[in-house]
Amino acid sequence: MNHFVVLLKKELRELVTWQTLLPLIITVILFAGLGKVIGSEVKREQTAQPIIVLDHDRSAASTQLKQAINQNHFTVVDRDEATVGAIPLQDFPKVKLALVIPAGFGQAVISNHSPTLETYTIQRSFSATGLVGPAMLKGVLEAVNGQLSQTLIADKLPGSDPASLRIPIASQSYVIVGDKTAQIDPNVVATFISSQTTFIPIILFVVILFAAQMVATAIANEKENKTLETLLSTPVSRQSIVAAKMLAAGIVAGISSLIYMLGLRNFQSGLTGGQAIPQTAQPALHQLGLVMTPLMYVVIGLALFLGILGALAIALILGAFAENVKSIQALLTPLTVLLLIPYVFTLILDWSTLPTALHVLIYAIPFSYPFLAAQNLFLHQYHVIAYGMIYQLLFFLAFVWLAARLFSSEQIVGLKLNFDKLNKLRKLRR
Amino acid sequence: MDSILTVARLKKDYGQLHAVRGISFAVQPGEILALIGPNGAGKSTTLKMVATLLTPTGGEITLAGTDAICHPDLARRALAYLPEEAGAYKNLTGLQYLQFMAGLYADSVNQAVEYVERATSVASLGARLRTKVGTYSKGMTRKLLLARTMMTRPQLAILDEPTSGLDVLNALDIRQTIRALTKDGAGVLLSSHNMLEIEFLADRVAIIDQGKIHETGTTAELKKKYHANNLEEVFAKVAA
Repeated sequence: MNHFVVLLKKELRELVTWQTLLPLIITVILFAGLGKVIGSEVKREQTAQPIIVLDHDRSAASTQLKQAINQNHFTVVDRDEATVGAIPLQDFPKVKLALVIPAGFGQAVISNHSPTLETYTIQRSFSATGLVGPAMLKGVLEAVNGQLSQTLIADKLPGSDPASLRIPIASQSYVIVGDKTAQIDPNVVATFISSQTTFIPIILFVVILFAAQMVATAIANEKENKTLETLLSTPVSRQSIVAAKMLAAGIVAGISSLIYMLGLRNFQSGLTGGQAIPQTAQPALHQLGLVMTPLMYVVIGLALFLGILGALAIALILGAFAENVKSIQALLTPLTVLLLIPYVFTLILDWSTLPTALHVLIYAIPFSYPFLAAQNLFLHQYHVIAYGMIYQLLFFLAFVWLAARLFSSEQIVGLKLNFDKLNKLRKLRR
Repeated sequence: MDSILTVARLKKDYGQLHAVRGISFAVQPGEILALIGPNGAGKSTTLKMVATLLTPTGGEITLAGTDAICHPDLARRALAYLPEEAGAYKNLTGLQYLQFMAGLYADSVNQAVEYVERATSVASLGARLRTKVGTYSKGMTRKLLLARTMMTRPQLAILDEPTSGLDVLNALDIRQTIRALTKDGAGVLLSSHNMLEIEFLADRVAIIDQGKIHETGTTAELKKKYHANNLEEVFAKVAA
């Protein structure tokens, strides 16, 4: 019989329980559901929102303005009150916007006196989706303004080019990535990259920590339930015991990461309605090589896998110090810190502007490479990815050797870090 | 007859602490040797060294003809160890636990099946074998673990406090099972605080204190030598 397979099966059976599966299933369903709900909310905000309009002018110009608003996803609710304050807003629970067209608006437009329109946002909540309406109204008014100025310029300066008068200096934005250049707004690129890669560090953090916790808990469980000594006295090599625990945790973490990844993909596609890439920006993004290809996912997956292996080896050693499962959280603190550093730096800060000392620190942490893999792929820094993977592999081999040594020694039987005793000692010293 | 286990001048130091100080003893096939002594006497450390979990500081351990210090992997094939207060995997059923442990010892699927059948019969847990170990009482868990110890017909069974914390009936059951184990020719090395248990079970007794064996002999020999009515009195006189 293959003893390693026997050990692996048992480890998997211990890890794959309803207690581990249920949170995973709930999270994935929650993510997919949330994506759909938020996506449909955004869509609802974008379609036919009611807007109260107090038209104090009742001119041809104000009527045209209302028609323009009506044609752009709004339903105008005409009211006669003198001010917005006089409107019984509680009677219009779905209305979040109001517009006041002042008396003399039409005349002022014709006589070039810049009339002022008042827009009111009725704050019924402070959610992000609540801001969609005001942004859309602003866009409509800007479009109307542009159209009006075109008409006025054409009227006042016949024979001239209204477009060039409105915008005398035109500009075109280009983005350079590595040796590739494309005409595209850098904000579009930033928004797109962020939408594509924001979930990667979250996945990495969760999966690596999840795997580490599983293997450390497996060791702590063996110690707490007093099964480790029995296991170590069987005619199975200690290396097999270590490898089976690591492989089982790796398999479960890998499958979990795939499921999480699918869940987050569903979440994002729910948000964007399945349209991850804006149609107009698509050619430029492809030209810059900024669209995730299956090969990129494979590279990130490989970096993640190596990261998981390194974390498993460290967790195995840390788990050996556990007296019971309760102490795992505290024992894994060093690993959590090592994961938090690249997580925070890649998610929040601009990697390119960090000081050299921080670069060195981050490059010294093997878990940084999966976090930086997506960025490095987009920036075509393939050598950093390759060096990182070699470093991760060496780190893993060093720690797995240490773990195997520890499990082959007698230290494993009595090794423990007693936090209660440490706390008592600390109190005594005080 | 060749001894199953021969321990010679066995030592174990933890820094300045000398836990075991050059003890020697042997276990014959079909014999139960009990190590008795107070807490911290070195009983569990000795059992763990014989079970190849701890590396001795000095001395020799020969188990079924194998040098257990140089070749612990080989020695483990001949022994079965039941640690004090040992548990089983709570998420597995009793049967799954036995199947798992059988898989670690067996060379073939047929042999594993044979081990499980033997363990099932020894454990006598009936339908409860198909329920999770986490739901077992202490007595049931101990029966399961003892069945696991016996299923491979080990040449040496090492039992640390086998009936510790069990009620009278469960303890009696376990003792009978241990006795049955020796009928197949297995040697048993056990430690216990329970002198009555030792009197019932052990063929020979080794009294250990402060890392040294002070007396070895059958219960009858020791009672006669120390003019004692029972093993407790022998122990008290030796310890004094």
